[in-house]
Amino acid sequence: MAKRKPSERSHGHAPGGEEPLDLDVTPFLNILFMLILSILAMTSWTQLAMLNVAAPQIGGGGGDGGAAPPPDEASALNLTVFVLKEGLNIGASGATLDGNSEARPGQTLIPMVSKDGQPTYDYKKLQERLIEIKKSFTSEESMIISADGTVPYDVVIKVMDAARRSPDGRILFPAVAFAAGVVG
Amino acid sequence: MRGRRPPEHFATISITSLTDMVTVLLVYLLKTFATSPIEIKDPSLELPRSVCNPAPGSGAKEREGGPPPRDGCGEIQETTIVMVTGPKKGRTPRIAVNSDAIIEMDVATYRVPEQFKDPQSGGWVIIPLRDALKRAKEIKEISALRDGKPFDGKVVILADKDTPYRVLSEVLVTCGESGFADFRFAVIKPD
Repeated sequence: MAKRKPSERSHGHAPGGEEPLDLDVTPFLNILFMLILSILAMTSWTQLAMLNVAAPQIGGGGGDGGAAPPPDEASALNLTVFVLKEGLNIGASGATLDGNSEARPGQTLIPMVSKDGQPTYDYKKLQERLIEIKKSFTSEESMIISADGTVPYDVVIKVMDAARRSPDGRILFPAVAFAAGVVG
Repeated sequence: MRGRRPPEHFATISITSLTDMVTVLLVYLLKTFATSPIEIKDPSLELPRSVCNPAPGSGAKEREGGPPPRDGCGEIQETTIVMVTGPKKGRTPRIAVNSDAIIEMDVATYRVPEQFKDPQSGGWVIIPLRDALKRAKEIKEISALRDGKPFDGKVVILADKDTPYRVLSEVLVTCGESGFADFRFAVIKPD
């Protein structure tokens, strides 16, 4: 038999008809497929994050908890965002919020807006107002959320998102506490 | 035709290129491989989406005793879990601690039934949840003692995005009552 050149040898079948020495990669391929499947199954596709929150403030209760951190002493503003059925409202017991002459703690209601035909809370407007408040109270970082009992959790998270950072990345009011007393 | 002979060679498919492709895919998957300390397998739990995108490595810093991130947005950690599922796919909404179901909520009202609540707390403390959390706290305290660290009181709340605020506050108050005062809300990071 004539010796073949290496370039000819590497091809699948020789013109002469002899079986070439071929590595059987099928089991290897099987293993690879199994590996891919197991990795796909083990990978977590939804990436989670955690939002830190402070303990809810309730009057009664008592109990033997005792592990609650002391309330932030520096927080004198008591900025509170009320999530009502008809919109959002901002209040504060420590100071008046509007720079205007109206000497009352609180602002007008931020009404619901229509998004895709559904009424939703106006988080953008809330954030704009919080940015305005932050300009007057630069050291303040805590905020209390109080909501109607029927308000879904999703809305609470969206309010926290709006209050955490301004669009340009400055920190607004990230230290969120919850008022357990349900409003409305 | 009778005299036809079978062909001498069957046409074989070259699987070398397929092997190449699969190897590349495997390498890519290994590179993007990500695990999460908390797995959610319950279809009746849909977490809310948030814009919170924690800085990489912030969770490790916190575990080593560093301060929590200033903007309150941290990486997920393995700790005590309180789960509040929703009434999705005809399931009864439940409250679970470390994946053990504690109570079932009322499907129609989506609230915790009154008989589970402690009247002394003004209807804010859920008694079975408090008992379960106290047991979980005892276990955590023993393991913390073994590690030589103080009990941190951390609890992750995995709640369905439709959970009413009333139920959420009751869960938070009960956690606080049971000694877990460092709440974290689990949310889905932006893509």
